[in-house]
Amino acid sequence: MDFLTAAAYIVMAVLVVANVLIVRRMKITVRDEDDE
Amino acid sequence: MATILENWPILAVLVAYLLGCLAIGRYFEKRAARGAADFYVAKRQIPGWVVSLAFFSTFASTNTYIGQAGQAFAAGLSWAWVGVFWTIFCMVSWLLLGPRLRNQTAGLRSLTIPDYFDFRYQSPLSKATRLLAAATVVFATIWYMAGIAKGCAHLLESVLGVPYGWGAMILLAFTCIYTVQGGMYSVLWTDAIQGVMMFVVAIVMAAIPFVYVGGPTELMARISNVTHVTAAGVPMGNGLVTFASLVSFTYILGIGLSVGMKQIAEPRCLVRFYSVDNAKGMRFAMIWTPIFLGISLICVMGLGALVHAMATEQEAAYLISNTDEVIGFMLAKFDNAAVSAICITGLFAAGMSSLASVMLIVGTSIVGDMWNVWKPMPADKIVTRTRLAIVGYCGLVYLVTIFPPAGIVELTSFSGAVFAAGFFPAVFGGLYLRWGTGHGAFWSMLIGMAATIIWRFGIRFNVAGLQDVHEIIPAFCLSLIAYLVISRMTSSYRPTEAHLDKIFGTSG
Repeated sequence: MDFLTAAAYIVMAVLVVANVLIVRRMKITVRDEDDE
Repeated sequence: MATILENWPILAVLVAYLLGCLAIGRYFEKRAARGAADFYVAKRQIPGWVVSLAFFSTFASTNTYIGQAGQAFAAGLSWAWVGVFWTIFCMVSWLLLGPRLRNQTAGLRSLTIPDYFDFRYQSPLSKATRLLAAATVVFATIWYMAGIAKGCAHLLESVLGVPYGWGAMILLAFTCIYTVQGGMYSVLWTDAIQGVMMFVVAIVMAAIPFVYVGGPTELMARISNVTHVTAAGVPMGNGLVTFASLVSFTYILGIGLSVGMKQIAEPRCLVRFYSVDNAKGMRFAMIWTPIFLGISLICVMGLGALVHAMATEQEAAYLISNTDEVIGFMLAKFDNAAVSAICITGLFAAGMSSLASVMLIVGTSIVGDMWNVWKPMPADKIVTRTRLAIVGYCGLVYLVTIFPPAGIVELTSFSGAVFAAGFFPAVFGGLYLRWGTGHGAFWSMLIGMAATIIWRFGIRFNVAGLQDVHEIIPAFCLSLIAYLVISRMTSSYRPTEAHLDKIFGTSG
């Protein structure tokens, strides 16, 4: 397998890990319908 | 009948699964009947892990597990790049749209994507935008549903010998029953179960070629230099493992964008955000949905290329022109009743999860966004009429499935581009740009859809060198530009500052 083909699998794995790190740093709020 | 009895393990697992779905629908029947907020968005009280699995199973369908996985048979392992784009858009959807859409729609008491356009923009064109969006959903969805029903009916026919028409009826009837009974409650909970099944099936399917040939070393050796030929009759050589050798990267990009962008534009995916119960659930879903999807795509997107190691030259020559049959061939060649039972049920679940989601979206669009806007109805009639609309629409889909028009697969993928180009700027602008206007939303929607149609049927296949440039690319760019420019030009139609403060005040 050449590098660019293998890179697809590597990039997918890196994206998933990066997403975890991004979300863990985010401040997330969820409001209710009654919050005004 | 003989074929059905011979395959009793598959039948037993399938029947158990279908009865489970019906039990869930029955369990939520009374709760869903309490009102539109329950039936349409499950009262925004669904745990994040359920919504996460539901998003994954709704987006991925039999098209992913059969069509895309089989496509790698012709395109090679480079097809995995399509999965990269899908994973990126899954992240974009949850990171950029999820929390904001959940909060804004709760504040606006929005229950559908079309009514979000109406309540958010509050302009003279808001109602028109809502109707246009709802009409697009109703028209574009029929091809999508018929495509899935067709794929599952063929699957039942080839594996169990169930006649095509009966297979389509079984699939649509069971899915319709539990959707109509439990509304969004049963759709989300069955989707979650289906999501678990699909995740397991992706891993099981990926393992089959490795087990069949005796390990990764032998498998890679076999597919690194094959004597099989392409559809044009040219020997593949090392094309299966060489980047963009069998298919251009522009084509990979087009499929990656047009299908992946459904996650940031199609109502069946976006409406998932409405139902998340709290911040903890939202965080869970934001982390885990790309994991569920990413791992599944790593398993299935290059699978077809691996099947070359299981095929003779004659078999490969047939499959190269019939890539939708690659996964069925793989299961037949592996010939293990337990594995087949798990995979067939998982593939069936993949179809049902997507079908149930779009059924509900169509019902809410017809009744909530078209009928109720045209002639307002008492609140207690909405759920009953939505249920009837879903049943009627399923009947229509059944007829299209029995008499499918030519090119139904193309129509299915084309509808994804229509949604992405038509809906995304209005959704994204509504969530992030205070200065976005209803005029910008309406015209960007119209221009995006028109550009998709014109590029697809007027330009793409008539101008040399543009065949691989998917309509999503020019249409999306034009639609986005239209939203930005027209919103700036029509700033006098912005909603009041008080309304915008209410929307943006605590969102994000």
